[in-house]
Amino acid sequence: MTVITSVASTSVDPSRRGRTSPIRQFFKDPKARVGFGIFAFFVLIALLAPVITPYNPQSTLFIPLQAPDARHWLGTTGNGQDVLAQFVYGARTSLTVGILAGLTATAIGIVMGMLPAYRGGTFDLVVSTFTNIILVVPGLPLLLVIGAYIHQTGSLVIALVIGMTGWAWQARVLRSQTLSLVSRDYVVAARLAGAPDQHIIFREILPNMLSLVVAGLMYSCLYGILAEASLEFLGLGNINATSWGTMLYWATQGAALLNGAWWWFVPPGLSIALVGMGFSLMNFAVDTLSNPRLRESS
Amino acid sequence: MKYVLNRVGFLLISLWAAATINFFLPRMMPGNPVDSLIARFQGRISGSALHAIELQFGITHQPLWFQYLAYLNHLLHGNFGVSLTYYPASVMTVIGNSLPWTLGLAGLSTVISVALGLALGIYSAWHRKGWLANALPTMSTFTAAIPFFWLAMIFVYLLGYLLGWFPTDHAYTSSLVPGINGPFILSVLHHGILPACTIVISSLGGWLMNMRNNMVQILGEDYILFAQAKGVPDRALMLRYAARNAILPIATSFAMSIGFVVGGTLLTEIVFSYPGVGYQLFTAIENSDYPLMQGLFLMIAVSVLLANFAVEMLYGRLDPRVRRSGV
Amino acid sequence: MSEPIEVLRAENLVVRFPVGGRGRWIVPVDNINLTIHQAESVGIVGESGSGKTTLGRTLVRILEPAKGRLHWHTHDVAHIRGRALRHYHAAVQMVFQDPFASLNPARTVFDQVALPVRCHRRMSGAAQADRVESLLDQVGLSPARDLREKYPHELSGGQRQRVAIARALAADPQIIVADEPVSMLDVSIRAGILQLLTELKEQLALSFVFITHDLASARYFSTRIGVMYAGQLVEMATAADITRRPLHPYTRLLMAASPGSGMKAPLPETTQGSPDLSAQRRGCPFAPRCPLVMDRCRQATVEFRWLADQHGVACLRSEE
Repeated sequence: MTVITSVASTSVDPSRRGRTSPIRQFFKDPKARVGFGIFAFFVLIALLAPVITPYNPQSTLFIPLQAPDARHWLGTTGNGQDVLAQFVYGARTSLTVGILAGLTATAIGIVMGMLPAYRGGTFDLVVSTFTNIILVVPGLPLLLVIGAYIHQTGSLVIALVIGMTGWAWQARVLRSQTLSLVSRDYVVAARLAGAPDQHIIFREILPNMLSLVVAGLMYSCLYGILAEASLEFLGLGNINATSWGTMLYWATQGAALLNGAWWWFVPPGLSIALVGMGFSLMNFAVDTLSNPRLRESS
Repeated sequence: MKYVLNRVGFLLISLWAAATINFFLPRMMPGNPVDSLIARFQGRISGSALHAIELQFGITHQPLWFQYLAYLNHLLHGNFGVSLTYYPASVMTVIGNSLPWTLGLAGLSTVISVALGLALGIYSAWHRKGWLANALPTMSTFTAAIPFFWLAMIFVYLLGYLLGWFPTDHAYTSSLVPGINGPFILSVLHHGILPACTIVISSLGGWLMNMRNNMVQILGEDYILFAQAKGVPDRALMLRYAARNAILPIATSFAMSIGFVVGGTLLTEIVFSYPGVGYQLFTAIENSDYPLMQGLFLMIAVSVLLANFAVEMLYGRLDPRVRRSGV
Repeated sequence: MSEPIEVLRAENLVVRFPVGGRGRWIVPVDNINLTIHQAESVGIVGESGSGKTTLGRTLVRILEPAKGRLHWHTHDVAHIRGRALRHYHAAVQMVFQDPFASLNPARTVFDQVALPVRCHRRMSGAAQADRVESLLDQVGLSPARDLREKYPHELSGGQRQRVAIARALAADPQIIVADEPVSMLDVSIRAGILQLLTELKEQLALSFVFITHDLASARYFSTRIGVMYAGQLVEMATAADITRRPLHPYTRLLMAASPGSGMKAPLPETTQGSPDLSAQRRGCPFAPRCPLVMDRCRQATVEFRWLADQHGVACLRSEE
């Protein structure tokens, strides 16, 4: 998985196109509609979990390893839990942690990308070198090692740790865009207007690269969901929490493969891929929004 | 030349950074996890080995800078300490046994995945009217989001257990003696197909989409139009004019992609019990074998940094602008 | 007539940029002396690449000069930073060439005009809103209510430039540097903007530095005119004087090129590329294109000399 956002192409200048509302334009793209539809579907499932299933996801009341039937639409786990209940409640954890990780990464990316580009000089050199180092140090092994040390921690910590290892690409993209915006006349004009630095960075420059930030956020959420699932799958998260990742962990522990219990491990993995696809499609659409040449081709 | 020096400099800095992260991670963690480890292994391994671990993880009264210098010194001499799981084997020995498997698996899969992804990306950008060309990018948004380990599970289930076509664990049939002989090599290939397919399918989509986007961009440039008007044959236009320029920006995102592929390889190895560094890392984590874990992490990081350096050198050769400007 | 009050004086101003590493420099502003008096409008005329925009941006201290001094009343502002620079910006404002680029596409008209009102004049709330409204009114954008919540892309080019002028006025400056303020606009609306600037100059006793490539509009707008070539000031005189008696061959060339001029100058050499701005050049920078070039011109450094009270030139021919 590589990022679809190419920096040079995304010169964000909506003014020259006589824009309609960017949100409406976004939803004109069928990719965006499908992507958002998938995302909304899973959010809805997560929100409506108690309505969808009467069962407690953790209760081990049922006969283990039952195939799907009218009572248990997605069968039961090896421990006698209802898979559907686990699945819909698990959506809550997986989505929350993934999105939180994505937001964390984006926030760090904005600061670590924009500040050095705006300040320039040695500060920029040091921070951007640091960013490039974090970018090339492989994230998952680092995550595993950290996970091994802070064994059995809460979901919030996991989200923060994922966010803290996944911001570098966005910082790099935002840095180069900031570099190209910082010499624009309207930024110079804001300096002449006596505006303080934080005003220039967050009110003058940032709004003009919102599409990059949003595309990056989509991508970071995708990364966050995948990373969370990986950690949980390996038992490095909180194995007692209900999430799509822990479902896969327990499925492996309970030899779901050997027992042919496909209903146990197919739904969570498939959903991770679908949610990821949803984010990816939205990322695509945001990219298209700021890059007309990609639009005519789709 | 300036470009080369620049990149060598960055390689050295990033190697140092990886080593430093490795040093400080265990010391930054809450509730000193190594203490309980030492307690657990008291009496089971020799006193000197235990003392070495205490030094390695900072359970000592020496000042931090002294520990740090000693650590760097050990690294430079290839001394990564002793593995607890495989005691008395050294961490270096374990790494030496597992690294080739991972390099082979990840290397081969990456080459196939990049080649296939770029080719499909070019196809998808060039034949924009065809249904397949249009379906490919959407399909790859899905494949790119499939968790590696889940795809591995599906393969194990379908092609391993249900159909029985492929073995589902280890790198070769354990009754065979490793060596350069027909049965062994066949066994290795047979065992490697599913893990390789997992990695290729999961990482293909990124290359495809990236290449396609760049191609579409470039096909809209005036110089392509001009070349077309001039009568450059389509094939040459597609490959020599468009694809060549479209590949260049991809190299810059390779840094992150390679890390991602390596992460995926680790997960794939774990599902297939493939005896590479990923599986060893997982074993080390499960057994709280911190020396082995740290050594593996450092080794993985170093491999990725070197791979990235190699790509950057290649990039410098491909792109004359980089070669000259030295930016 | 009383002695005019001096507001801003550039002394031996030099601005340079590195090019391509290896210690090579270009010098788009090369040893320039220039004085701006109160309520006076000085035109700076030159072709693209003459360094006129760089000079303008240095006077406003968007750029920092490498050498020389910049006197604002009695202070040297050449190298000030931080709070002092912010203070200076309240007094010296700029109107940019391209109103598309100088207005932030993501912010409303009100936001952009209110920014200097808030930051420089420390106004907020109703006072700020009133001030913005009166500014918009002042630049002919009324009723202001219809416009204040609009984004730049919803305005015409002329309206955008008026907003940019309102923003420059908002800080209550003493000098406005206008960098080709009409060159990006449709010909039909240029006159209106020039008219507006003239009115403002007279009403507010503002000083203007009016940068243009077009001698005709400089003459219309300015009391004195400086002609720049390749980073150097080659001639400076009152608008009337320079029209009647241009001394530098380059000025004559500009005169001959402007429409409706009866002036006939010898045809210049035009096969040369853009003027050489590199730090290593020698002699008169105009020599390669000059129809009256002498051998000495290619070697000797040409000094700018005042011939009469208000008329100066940098040309060896003028010394004969």
